[in-house]
Amino acid sequence: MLRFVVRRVLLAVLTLFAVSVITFTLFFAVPSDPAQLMCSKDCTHEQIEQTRDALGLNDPIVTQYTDYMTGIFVGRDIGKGEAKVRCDAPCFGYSYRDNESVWSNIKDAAPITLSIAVGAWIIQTLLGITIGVIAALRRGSVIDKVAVGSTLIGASMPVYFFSAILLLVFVYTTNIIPRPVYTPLLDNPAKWALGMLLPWLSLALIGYANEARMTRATMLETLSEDFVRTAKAKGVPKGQVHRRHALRASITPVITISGMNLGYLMGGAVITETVFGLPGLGKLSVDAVSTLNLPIVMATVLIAALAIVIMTMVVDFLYAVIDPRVRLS
Amino acid sequence: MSQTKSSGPYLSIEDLKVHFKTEDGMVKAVDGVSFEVSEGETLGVVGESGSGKSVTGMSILGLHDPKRARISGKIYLDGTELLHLSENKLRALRGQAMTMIFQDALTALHPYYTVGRQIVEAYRLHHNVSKGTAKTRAIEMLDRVGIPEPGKRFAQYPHEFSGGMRQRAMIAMSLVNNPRLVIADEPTTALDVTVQGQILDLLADLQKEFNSAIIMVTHDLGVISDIADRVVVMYGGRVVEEGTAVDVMSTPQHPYTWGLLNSVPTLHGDASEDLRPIPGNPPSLLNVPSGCAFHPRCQHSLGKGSACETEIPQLLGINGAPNHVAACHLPESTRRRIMETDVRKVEVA
Repeated sequence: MLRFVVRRVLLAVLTLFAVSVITFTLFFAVPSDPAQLMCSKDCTHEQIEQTRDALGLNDPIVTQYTDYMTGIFVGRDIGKGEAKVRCDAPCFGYSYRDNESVWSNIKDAAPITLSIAVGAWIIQTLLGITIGVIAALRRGSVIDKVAVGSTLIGASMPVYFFSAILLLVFVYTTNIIPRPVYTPLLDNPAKWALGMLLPWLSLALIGYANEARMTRATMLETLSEDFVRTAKAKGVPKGQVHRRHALRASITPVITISGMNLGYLMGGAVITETVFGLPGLGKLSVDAVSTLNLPIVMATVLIAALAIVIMTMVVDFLYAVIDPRVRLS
Repeated sequence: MSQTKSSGPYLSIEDLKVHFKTEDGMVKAVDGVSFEVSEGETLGVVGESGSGKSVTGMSILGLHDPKRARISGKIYLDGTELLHLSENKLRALRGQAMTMIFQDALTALHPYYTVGRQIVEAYRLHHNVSKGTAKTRAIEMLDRVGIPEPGKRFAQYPHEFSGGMRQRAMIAMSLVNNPRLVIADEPTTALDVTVQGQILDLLADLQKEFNSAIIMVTHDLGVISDIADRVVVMYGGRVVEEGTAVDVMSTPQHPYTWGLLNSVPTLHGDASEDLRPIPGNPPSLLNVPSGCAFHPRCQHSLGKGSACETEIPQLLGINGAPNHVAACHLPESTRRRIMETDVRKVEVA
């Protein structure tokens, strides 16, 4: 088991390293000059050259990369001579647009994304598994058909459309819910939940659909397994057959989907954040892309990758906890 | 083996019909089957796949989905009619009075729970005892079925067992409550021959000890000749021949039984003698042939338009052996002649 854990962690670190190298080269290879972007319109050629030098853009790309990575882990000095600024770890550099540190941008946006992600994930997973199990147990019934139909709607409904409908119905028309705003959880939990409710619902509907479909499919498959028949033959009561024998064995693929969903959500829900006007990581990164604000793009990509890699790892560990056959291999 | 005492059949099935509704029509998996088993007796149920033998076993335990299966007839277990019993009462009997040993223990045991835990579960479902007591009992059973180091094996998962050990564990789980009826559904099919012999010996030993009734469902006549006291031969969802193992194996009366016997290799047989498989395939249970279901594959059929094609034969006693019955339109004298000259016999242990 220990070897399994060590191997998975090493693999995760390796993946992150690869992602960082690829994004770094990609972004710094785009034909746009950060120094030009940072300058005002009437910049002279010398000024631009100075800025390039100060940013270290004239250094070889390997040096730039190691500087960047050093900054993330131990902090670094940016600029040269008098313009030198100390940038503490985790240093992702400075935004080209307003010269604010990328990390402070992220620190503002991350709690919002995290709030949206965790809430939406809990709702979609509970809903997905419950509905999937009920549909499987009542296979072919009206309940099953309604459940499958609802997942079809969820899977095919564009987020922006559903979010807009939610806004229209609950905010603009009926005024049942105030316009979503972010209130820190610790300031006022009730207000926090109310403000997040619509983003949660809009994301939960999408995510719930595939979790419910997966649960239903694997549950149906498991219900016809020999070991479920054995449980019945032993005299296990029906409810226990379903919970302890069937669900336990069908939950693994659902955990994969659910875990990956959480990973994606933590990287930022671009569309939802934009529709509801919540300045989370998704909105931050999209805004940064449209202004070619590379340090921010780079940082948000790395964070999204980190979220996915971590969730993949967690899913793998859960697999090993649930399925004894994984532990040995 | 010989019976110790038997006072009336422990299980008796009367005119059991199990039909499944499918999109293509009604599948008549079992169509009017009757037989009995007494305590201490081993009944072999033989047939090709699709003959309805496993379906019969499953319906005794009530394992068919009532939404899909239409079951009629009567099943009496120790005088209690099972088909109309409430789910709760039936559940109390399952695993306690009657249990099932399944074919492939790798798929029949839950992959995520230790073998010990699964046996403990089976025991505690029917005994109100602590986990510790149940564990002692489970280890005792693992030991009883010949699993070495039962204490250590208790904590292992099914995939950590070899095929034979896994089947033993399955048997330990099935017998943990001292059931009086054990339905063994091809318990040795997935095992190699030496292990198969050990498992059969084990079942026979345990039967002597607990005096339970065993229904051995199999397609393997070798298994039957090893262990069964009586034999029921099934074809197309019906019983075509029934009698003591000695009678059925040494004086088989039904052309289908002949076919089965002729397709079995024997150690003592003449090496130059070819195996003669039964031509054709088992019938589709959606559309069972008219008359005798076996007639399209029967070499001795009386031909077109005869009773073989139009009339379902009744199970009739054989002259001199009233408990040996067969369902065949051929005159008994003809059958005797064919049987004596043209059919290979299997020795009964």
